[in-house]
Amino acid sequence: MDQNFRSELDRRLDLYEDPASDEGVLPPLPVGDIVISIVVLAVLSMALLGWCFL
Amino acid sequence: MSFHISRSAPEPGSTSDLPLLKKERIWSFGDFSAANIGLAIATWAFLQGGAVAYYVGAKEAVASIVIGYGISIIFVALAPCVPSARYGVEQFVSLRSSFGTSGSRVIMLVLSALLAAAWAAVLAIMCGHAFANVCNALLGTDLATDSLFVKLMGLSAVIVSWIILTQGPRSIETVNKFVSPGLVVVTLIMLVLVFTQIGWTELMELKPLAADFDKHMAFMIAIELNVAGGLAWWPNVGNLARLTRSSRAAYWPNMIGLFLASVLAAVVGAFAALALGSEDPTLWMIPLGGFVLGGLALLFVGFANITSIVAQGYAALVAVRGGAGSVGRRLPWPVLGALLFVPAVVLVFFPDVTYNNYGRFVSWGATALAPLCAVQFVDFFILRRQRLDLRAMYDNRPGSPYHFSGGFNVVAFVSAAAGALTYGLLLNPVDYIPAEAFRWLTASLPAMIVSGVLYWVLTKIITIPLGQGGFGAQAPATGEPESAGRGPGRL
Repeated sequence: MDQNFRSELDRRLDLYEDPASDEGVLPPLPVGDIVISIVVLAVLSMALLGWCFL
Repeated sequence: MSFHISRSAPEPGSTSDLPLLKKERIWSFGDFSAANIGLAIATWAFLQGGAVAYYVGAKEAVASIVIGYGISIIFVALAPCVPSARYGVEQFVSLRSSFGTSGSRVIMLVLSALLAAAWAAVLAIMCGHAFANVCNALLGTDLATDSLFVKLMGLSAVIVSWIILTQGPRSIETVNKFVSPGLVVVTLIMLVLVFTQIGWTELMELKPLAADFDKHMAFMIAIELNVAGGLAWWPNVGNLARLTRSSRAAYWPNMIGLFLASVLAAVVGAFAALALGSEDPTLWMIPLGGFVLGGLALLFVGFANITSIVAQGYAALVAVRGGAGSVGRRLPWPVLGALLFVPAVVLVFFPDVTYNNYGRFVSWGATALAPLCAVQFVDFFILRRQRLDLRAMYDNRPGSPYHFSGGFNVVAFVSAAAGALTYGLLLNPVDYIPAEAFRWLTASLPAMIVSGVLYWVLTKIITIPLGQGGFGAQAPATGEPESAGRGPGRL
């Protein structure tokens, strides 16, 4: 790891870990979002299969 | 495909593998959706539609494209995108929690390079076909698909792509500003032209191009083709999602952009293939639009292949440069680009073998990508509940959480290998002959289930008891790793 990269990395990691800093990890993706997309895909898939084969 | 990375002056983080700061996250929900639409409406979508039409008719094509892309794009939107966006890191950096600090490098280097070279070859040959077909129509020549002309045009496409690539992301963005909207227009014109030639009822009754196939098996192959086609986004999307400002902005634009746009373009491709009786997109334009309009559209598609090669090549170069560490950062951009395209230069001299095996090509990709995606999904969403240790991702010292054994998480590699084996047993990517069980299972989905379940079990009974992977000390959601205070290692 070159020196410039390391010092910039250190600075950024410190910022991420500093509670007073504006920087940080984004909030997690809500599980509801995943459930919604799976349910929509499942319903759409069933409808399309019905359209094709019934 | 459009990359807007250079919209603002490049920041240190956005062009390296450093975690991004807030000001470097330049993409809103709308920006990422637009980029994804550009990524999806590319010439490969027509190839995908043509390949699907080989096996199934119009109704089944629509269903298989929606279902196949839907399944794979949900996984692709989750596994690489959310961790990269949440922690502002490149995809290969987020992959370190599952495959190890060195293992993730190997995976990204090999996969990005191989897939970019293979896509470059296929698209360059498609470009050669397009120009050969224009010549045949304009000059009355009879240039064959494996003629020297096609090979030289393919080679030229690779060289021109390399030249554009050497100019960096700004030139790519400039070119794509014209090509992406142009391809949207061509796609819509094609849809209109298909329906001027053939009515809806007639279209729905057309037989697939390979009419003698077992219908049930053919439908499952079509589903598999689309699952595999969607998984092919895996090496690229994480690095793009990293630039977004929220987890939702990293996830949903994939469904709006990649999913809807891919579905639209592939469905248009399938309809055109069925209406014209050919799976080669370069044979559709002139019969559909006549010599002038069709010829112009074909020339445009020919050039659009070059921008698709450049876009794919750029994403791969970013991954390869990051994955190669300090060596990659020292190598000049044009040299890295040239190295990336060497295999494509060889492949364009075998146009029929390369171009006519699109299904096998995406199948080979899915053999590796389906298990990888499953392992990453189980690691991040199930075992770690969306929490990683950011500092550990940059710490390659023995004993650090993501160092595992020698920088490799053997459990992840074994799980991925088991998934790849499962895929091969259900659909041999060499001869593309499916096993009997394939008609109920497909190949990518069982491969994902085997890899994901095996990774979960082996992590519980091997990795966690060994104290590897940092599973006992996940960082809290606020982004404050418990290992704070350690210095980063030698990555």
